[in-house]
Amino acid sequence: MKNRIALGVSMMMLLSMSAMPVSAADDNRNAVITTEVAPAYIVTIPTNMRVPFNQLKTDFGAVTLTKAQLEPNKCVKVTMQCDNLLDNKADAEKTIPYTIYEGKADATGNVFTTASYLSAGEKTDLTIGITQDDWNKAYAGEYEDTVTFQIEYTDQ
Amino acid sequence: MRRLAVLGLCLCLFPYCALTAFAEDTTTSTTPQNDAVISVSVPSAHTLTVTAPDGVTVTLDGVSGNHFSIDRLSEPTLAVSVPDGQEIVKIVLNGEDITNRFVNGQYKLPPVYENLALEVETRSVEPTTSTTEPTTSSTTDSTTSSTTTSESSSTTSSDTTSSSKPDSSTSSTTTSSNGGTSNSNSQKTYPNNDSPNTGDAMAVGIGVPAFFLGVAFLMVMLKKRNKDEE
Repeated sequence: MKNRIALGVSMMMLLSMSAMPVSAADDNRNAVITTEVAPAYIVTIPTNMRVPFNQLKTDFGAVTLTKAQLEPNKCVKVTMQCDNLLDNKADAEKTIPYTIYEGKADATGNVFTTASYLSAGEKTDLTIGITQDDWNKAYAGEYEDTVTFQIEYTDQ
Repeated sequence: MRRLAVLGLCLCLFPYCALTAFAEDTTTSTTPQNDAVISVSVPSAHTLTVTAPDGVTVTLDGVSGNHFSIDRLSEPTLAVSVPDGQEIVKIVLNGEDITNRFVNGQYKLPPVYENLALEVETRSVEPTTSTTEPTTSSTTDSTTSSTTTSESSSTTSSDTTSSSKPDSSTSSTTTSSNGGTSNSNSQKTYPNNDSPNTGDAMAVGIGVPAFFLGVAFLMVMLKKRNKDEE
């Protein structure tokens, strides 16, 4: 008896899952297909950089919008944050001022703080600048500072 | 048989089970690390390399040599000395002429922040026994003759020592007789360890008696002339 019941239930489940032919009606109906492509982007930022002693301008790499699938009127905004001081590891009182410029070392431009990008391939070359006077005054030792690049997907 | 049928039905049902799928999140794909570290290494010492003719001695804080290590931002004292028969023409530090900066033969370097290259240029000077006195030529002549006399009567040969001050515009050559004391092995420290007044004092000391001798000679000549006229 139980077997018969189980067999019956199984048959009903199979029937419910099988494809049922539906005859098309004569009237036209519209099917709206919607899809959503989410915005996507890849931003590459400069890697760690060791500045040679007494070098006034050092190429720092570039901020590049490598891949971009952006919505209209949207952009990717990159903001750089740093305190413009290289701190001596042994004595934080001793510092070396530096500045990050737009452009390559042989042709620097304005001081870099932020940039907006719309399409893939756009980039901003960066250069680290330390003046000769600041080099001359620097005490011996190891110095470093961390530069943070904040990336936003925002309105233009 | 029934069991096989149930098993077969279960196998048929298995593919219809719903499976959970995870969609890839591509909303924002950024680099995993948004930081970059800028680092710098400032050396603790620098070098001083000396290029100088043979015989020239360069000392740094009293230590002589041709290659020195200097602590960064320290201020050592530099001294240059030349052997007898030579004088300093020019002292160049990293391309800059610092000859005039030597005081009493020494120059205190400013805080050192880079490697340094020191070049010393010298020239030979002719040994001379004449002492030049810039005031009056007659005094100079008499001084020279007195000096010559003194040297000729000396038992040991006197050496001629020449030196020049860093300021080439005021450089002069002086002669001193040591009156029996030989100084052939001595080196004069640049620009002039011997006080230049030494030569002047000698010139004055010998010149004054010579002057009075000259006056006396003139008076005698005048008296003789008066007698002749009478």
